[in-house]
Amino acid sequence: MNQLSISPRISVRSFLRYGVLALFALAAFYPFFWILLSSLKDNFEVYSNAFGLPTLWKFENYATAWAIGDFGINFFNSLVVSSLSTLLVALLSAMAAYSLARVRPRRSIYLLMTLGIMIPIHALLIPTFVLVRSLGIMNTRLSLIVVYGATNTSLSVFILVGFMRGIPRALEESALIEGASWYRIFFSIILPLSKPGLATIGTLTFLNAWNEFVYATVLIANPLLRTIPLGIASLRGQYFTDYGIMCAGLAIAIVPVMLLFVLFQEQVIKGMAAGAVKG
Amino acid sequence: MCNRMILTVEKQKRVAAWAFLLPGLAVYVLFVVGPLLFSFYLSVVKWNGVGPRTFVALENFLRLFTSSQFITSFWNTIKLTGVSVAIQIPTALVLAFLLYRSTHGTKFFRALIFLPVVISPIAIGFMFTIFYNSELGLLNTVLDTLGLAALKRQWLSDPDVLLGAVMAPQVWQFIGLHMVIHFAALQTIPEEIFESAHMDGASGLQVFFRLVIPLLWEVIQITLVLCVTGSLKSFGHPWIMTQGGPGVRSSYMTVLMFRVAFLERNFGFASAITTAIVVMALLFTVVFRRVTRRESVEY
Repeated sequence: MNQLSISPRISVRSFLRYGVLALFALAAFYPFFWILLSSLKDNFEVYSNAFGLPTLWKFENYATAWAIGDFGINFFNSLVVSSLSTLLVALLSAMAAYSLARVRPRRSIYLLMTLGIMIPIHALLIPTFVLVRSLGIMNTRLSLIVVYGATNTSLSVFILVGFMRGIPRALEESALIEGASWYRIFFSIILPLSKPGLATIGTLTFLNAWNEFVYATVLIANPLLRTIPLGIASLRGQYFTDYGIMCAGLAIAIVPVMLLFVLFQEQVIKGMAAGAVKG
Repeated sequence: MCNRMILTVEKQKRVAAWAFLLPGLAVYVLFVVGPLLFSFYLSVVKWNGVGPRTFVALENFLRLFTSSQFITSFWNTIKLTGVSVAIQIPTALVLAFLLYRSTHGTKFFRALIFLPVVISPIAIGFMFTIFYNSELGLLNTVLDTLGLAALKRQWLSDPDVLLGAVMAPQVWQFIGLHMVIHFAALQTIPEEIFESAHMDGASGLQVFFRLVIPLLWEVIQITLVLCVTGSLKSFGHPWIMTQGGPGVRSSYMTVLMFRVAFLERNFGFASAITTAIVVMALLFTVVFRRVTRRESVEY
């Protein structure tokens, strides 16, 4: 009886609730969908048939965009730069975090190493340009790898120190008594136990490096070393009037990230949320 | 004998501590701390990037107050920050609450609304450039379809709508980020609180304003800071859409900094702009934390 009198109100409510959520989901997703649709059309159809499926599927847009945006090379460069900077951050900050969380806590160094969280990334652009130039590594992938590594260190150390502090002491104490060295403890106890934390910072760093534009545009001039964001910018830069091709180029750049996101959703969202809730 | 053994153990520990710390610390000091200090130094010199540097004391900073380009970019940044805070945070809070109360498809909705966050701002800016095209773009086509042709604009050149058009992708892209942070915080609140409120006959609105906002206040502060610092460092959208132009009409401080440094080769003034951005970000974070510390003590 009671149930009956409440249920209509509840269903109106939940209808509204899902309606609002669906509306925002649509607003977030439809723009990408429209790009995908338009990537298979010619100019005339982009305009005259803006919302429908293409009548003439122009798959060759992708071939043209792939060639113009040099996406083969860009993908390779982005993959190399993002993977290696992720590896670098994971290794160096795991080691530093181990030292700070387990071996010998030093508050001053911890504060110094996490200070970077507060520094807007563009603040280091000009001096980094000067530094990279004087180190003679201008126009190399190495420059991007090191810079992305360094700028992601603070947050990674912060997250990993927090993570490693939570690992029970007993494990390493018994290992120490049995004569294991600190190195051994790191590689065979702490590192394996830190996998979830490493996954978080790894996803975050990889994504940051994959999407980064401003350092890449300043440090890389050689077209053969361009990363994907630079490829997108050059696609925009060439005065283009074929919208199907531009949409295809954009789709080539964003679809892999979307697929990665679908696969690693939990890590990405956790990493981003952790990255935000940092202080 | 025993003492000596303890000494070696202690020494081994010290060596290990430094051995693990040093590589990361070295890279970090060389590429983050060093550049930060160097940036402060560059802001008090005049330098074109290659020739000799001349010390000019505070001249670059004084120029901030007289440069009409900086003042325009400054206000554009403030407007972006205001709009982001006013739209993103409330929307994200409501969406997080709706997600929390929904029983089906939670992950599905969360993933879709979060999706734009993972895409490069350069790609998002490029996408909006396509939408804004006056003949073929999605926006004018939608307005045509809805019978609102009168609202059609040259979005990226009409000065009345230009800045709004450049700010839109920033606001649109990051709602999902704030939503998942609020949502994660909501999930840590025991369900019974909401159930008992419901028993007491509280309406959805009451629950939202009396329970959700106070309970999440700590996290809302974090997303507020994130929203402000995120706006202060926004660069990709305006850069790909308009390069901050025409003139500096759609420039933020970051865009102006980039142009002054790498197009005009005035590294000193550009570093002063950088310093202004850093100081604003730090001041906001610190002052905001101070002001709101009272409420957060109990956690």
